[in-house]
Amino acid sequence: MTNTKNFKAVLAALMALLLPGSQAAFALEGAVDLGGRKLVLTGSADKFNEYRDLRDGLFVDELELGVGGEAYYAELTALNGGRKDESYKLEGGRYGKFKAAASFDRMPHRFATGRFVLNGAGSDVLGISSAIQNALQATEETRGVRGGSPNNDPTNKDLGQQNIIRDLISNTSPTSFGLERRKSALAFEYSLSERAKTWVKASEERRKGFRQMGMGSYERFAQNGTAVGTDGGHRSDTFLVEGQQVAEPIDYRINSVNVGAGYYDKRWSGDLEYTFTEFVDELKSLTWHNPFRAVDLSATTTGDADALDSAGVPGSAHGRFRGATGRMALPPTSRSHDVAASGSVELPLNGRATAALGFGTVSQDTELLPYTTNTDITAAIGAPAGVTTTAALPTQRFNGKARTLTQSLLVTLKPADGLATRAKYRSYTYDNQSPTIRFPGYAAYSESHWRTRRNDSAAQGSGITNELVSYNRQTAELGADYDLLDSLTAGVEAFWDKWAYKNNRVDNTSELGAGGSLKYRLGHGLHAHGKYRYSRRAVQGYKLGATAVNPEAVGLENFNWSDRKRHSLQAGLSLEPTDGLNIGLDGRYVDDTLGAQRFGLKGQETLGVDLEVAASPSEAFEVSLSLGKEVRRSEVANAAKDNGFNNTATSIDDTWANNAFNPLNYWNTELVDKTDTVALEAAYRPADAWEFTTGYSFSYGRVSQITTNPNAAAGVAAGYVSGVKLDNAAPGSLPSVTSRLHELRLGGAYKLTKDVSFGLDYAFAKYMLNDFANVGEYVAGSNVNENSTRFVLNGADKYDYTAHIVGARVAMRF
Amino acid sequence: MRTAPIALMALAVLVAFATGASAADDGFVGAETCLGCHAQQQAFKTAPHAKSMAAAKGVAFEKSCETCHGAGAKHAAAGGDKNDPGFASIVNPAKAKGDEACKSCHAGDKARMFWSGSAHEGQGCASCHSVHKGGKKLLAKESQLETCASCHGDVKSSLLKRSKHPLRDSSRHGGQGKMACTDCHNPHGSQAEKLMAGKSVNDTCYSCHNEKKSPMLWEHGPVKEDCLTCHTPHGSSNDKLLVMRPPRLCQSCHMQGRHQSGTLGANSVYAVGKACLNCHPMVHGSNHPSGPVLQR
Repeated sequence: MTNTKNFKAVLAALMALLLPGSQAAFALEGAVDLGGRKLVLTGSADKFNEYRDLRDGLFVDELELGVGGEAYYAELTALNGGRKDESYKLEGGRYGKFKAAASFDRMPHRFATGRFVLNGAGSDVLGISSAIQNALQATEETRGVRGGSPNNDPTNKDLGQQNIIRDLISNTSPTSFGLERRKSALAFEYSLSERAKTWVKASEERRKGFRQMGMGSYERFAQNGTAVGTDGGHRSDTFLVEGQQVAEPIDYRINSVNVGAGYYDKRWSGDLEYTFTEFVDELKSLTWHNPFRAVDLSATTTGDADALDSAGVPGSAHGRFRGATGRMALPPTSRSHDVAASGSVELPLNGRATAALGFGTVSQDTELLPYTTNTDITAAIGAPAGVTTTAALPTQRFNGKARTLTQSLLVTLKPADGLATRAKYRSYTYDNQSPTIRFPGYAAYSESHWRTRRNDSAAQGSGITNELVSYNRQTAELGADYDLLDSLTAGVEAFWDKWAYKNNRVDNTSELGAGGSLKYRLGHGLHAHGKYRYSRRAVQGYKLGATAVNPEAVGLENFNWSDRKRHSLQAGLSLEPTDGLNIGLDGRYVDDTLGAQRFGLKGQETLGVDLEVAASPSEAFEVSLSLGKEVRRSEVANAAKDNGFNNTATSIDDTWANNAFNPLNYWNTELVDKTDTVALEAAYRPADAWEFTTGYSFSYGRVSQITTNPNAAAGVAAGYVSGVKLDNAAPGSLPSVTSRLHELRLGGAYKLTKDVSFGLDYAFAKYMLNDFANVGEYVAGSNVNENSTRFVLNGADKYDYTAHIVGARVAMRF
Repeated sequence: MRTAPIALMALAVLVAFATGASAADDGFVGAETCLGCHAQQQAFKTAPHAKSMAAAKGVAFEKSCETCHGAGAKHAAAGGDKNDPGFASIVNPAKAKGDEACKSCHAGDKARMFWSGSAHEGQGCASCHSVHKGGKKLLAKESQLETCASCHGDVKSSLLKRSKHPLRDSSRHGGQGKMACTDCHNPHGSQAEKLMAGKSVNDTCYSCHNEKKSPMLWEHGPVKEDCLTCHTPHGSSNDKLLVMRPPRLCQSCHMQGRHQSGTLGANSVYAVGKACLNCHPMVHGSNHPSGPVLQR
């Protein structure tokens, strides 16, 4: 206690020296939470500590120091000191006059640990020994030898390649994929008067680390199904997949400055601020070595009937993923400026009008990379000369720029007691002013071939132009709430939401909606509320498929641009039937019917219910229980494509122009995403000095994906032979994915004095994820329709963990 | 036992009359009188609210209670007798409709510019703030997460899902993670939808995910339009906060090529690992001349 007194005296004296006019006594107060813990963790530390750094040993979880008098104050807050998720903030000032703050915050973001076969994770060059490259190149099986199937391996080269890869993986040390964010900030706010203030804020953020990124490609092997209908040969396509996951380096710096001034009075207020943000990527590109190739080679267009695509353009190149290196562009350095003004003024009828106007720009001016690093992509396969240099590009730099303009106006009036009305309008414009560039082609299929079209659609012609979508979104809302009775309030509202696009496959979407609400308040804490909204979104000018603007399939409509009918209902009830007992029940339901067209997301339905019961049977005991359930059901309609598989002689065939889908190849997926949560909390304080707490929570998530063929019976009845549909239209469902999280917490604390307590804690956490997509580093040989011998993942997908944490802590206030 | 509080109140009234006759003339009795009965509010003396009222607004502590609750002479004179009409003359801002008591000082600042007509206006300040307590932002609960989750139960549940932002950390008191709800939302009103703190949903996301802000050479249309087309920020049963897992998410909008339009079984590289992103990783846009199909 003597030490504490001395410490307080020293700090108070320090404050008296530092702060002008501070002769008055300064009071020191604060709190500290420290102790030690033991963590026993099995499984994925990355998932357990995804955004934190909970660890063994001594800790100072929280430290607060505050010193101040009648006019001045200073506060220091430190959280998780010494850990990788630490944060510190020092703030001080004079009440009502100025405030200054400095802060530092650190946070990890851990993804997972896997085995990465290249060297140099985190840098902009990922390498591998040339001995491995040579060995794998020597075992490359050519398409000619394989014949019509990617799984044919008459020379056993695939087997040899697989053995090399497996040996390589087993001799590779684990690599943790993750990043760390460090942010430092300064802020100063000065009040010119009681109503006028200015401020300046500055921050610097660093993010450094690396994450997984796929660099794959695939090659189609068309099977010989010519005997079926008018199938041109794609009925049973199989695939050779090639590529690898790499480590995308993250080395970002973000600087930001914000200055502003404002005048704030009850009758009117206004302010103006300016923000500058600079995003700097310290690395411009990522180059990686292809483990399978030591020498550059391009793909070929010979040796198979698919050498030319349906428009006669070389497209289905064979022997992909053949560059000895590959390179990608990392996010570009950019700068943005934003100016925003807002103001508010009192109106008659207890009203208020508030408006905001904001203008912003964001731009990059980046030297482009060459098309490819593959020196074998030459004029011999149609490429311009020098594609490995920037000289072959139509422009060497990309000066991208976008402007945003925000306008909003909100008017509220309360013309009579119990009546509140509001009108809101907002316009947000995103205007992409970047240059349009026509590229003659690009290095496609993992930089193995020169392709002059973006996709299979011939409508876009030769050459590829970047698409610069701009849009304007306007929203308006009118609403009123009226107290019908002291205990009953009714509300009505109408709203409008319009998007207008430039250079998009849709011109406009326009949504109109209306709704009503009721709030009911009765004795015994009974509150009930309900709200219903209906809206209809209509689409104008959707350019449907196989066109220059929209290369997608005829009949497909993107769900964010499609017609939509939405019913939305929210309802809740809270009740306090007796003192110390609270019951709350909330529910929500949203039903979306989407799309006048036949393909895409067709509908979505979400139902959620939450129940919370909190009871305090005595002053010493309180308990609460929460139950939550959410179900989201989505319907996706699709069809497997094959240009030649369409029996036009049958009435069941689609009659839409350019249709390439036989009804027998339609498939629908129903996705059901269910989440159940349970949480139980209890606290028992048998005497002033003792407190026991416990908490348990459980969350269970399950996503099922059921795929069916809706037209099978009708197709057979119309003359199609059962089973002749495309193999890739077979109604194979994807397995369900489940996740479970249990967390249990037990704690006891004893107050040694009024301000000092000692506690013991135990926590248990268990997470289980069952996801078929987490397949490990190498799946070669395990697939039926795909040969994945040349596809290497990182296996950074292990997320299960079990953790026990025991801790002792002292919490002290002074 | 019933006489004790009444006696205390009577004493308080006497003290008030003895110490502040002029205040009592205006119907004001002073804070010490209030604390004579409401001893549980002693902590208010040292709470940031009381300190800043004196220094910033010139409201001495002695006048602090009645600044918000109104003149207390009649209430004090009732001596705890609820049948006395004067007892109910005191204002309880927490139970009153509206937020006039708070607005008398917090009439406006940048954060509250759009308070009038906002979604939370009807809830009243006291739903989230406890003005007598200490603590950060005078929150009614131990943490901001607990305060917001007391109404937004669906968000509370979402934070237990497979992927989420770091809003929750069960190892901390109050469960507050490294992020707070106010990093993305302004609960006091906003010009943008969903009480977004930024100019729009996307501008809010860019405040942390700044690398996705710049226009790119090759854009993916929905990305610059609305991050929520593909992501659900409070929590998801899918990886990366996705609204639906690939390949079905991608297939909702893409079926141009043959490989996009297949059902893609569980043994397909189109469905395992990162599914479509195994080959098309640059879904947020590419700056590479060979990136028109977002592979580079």
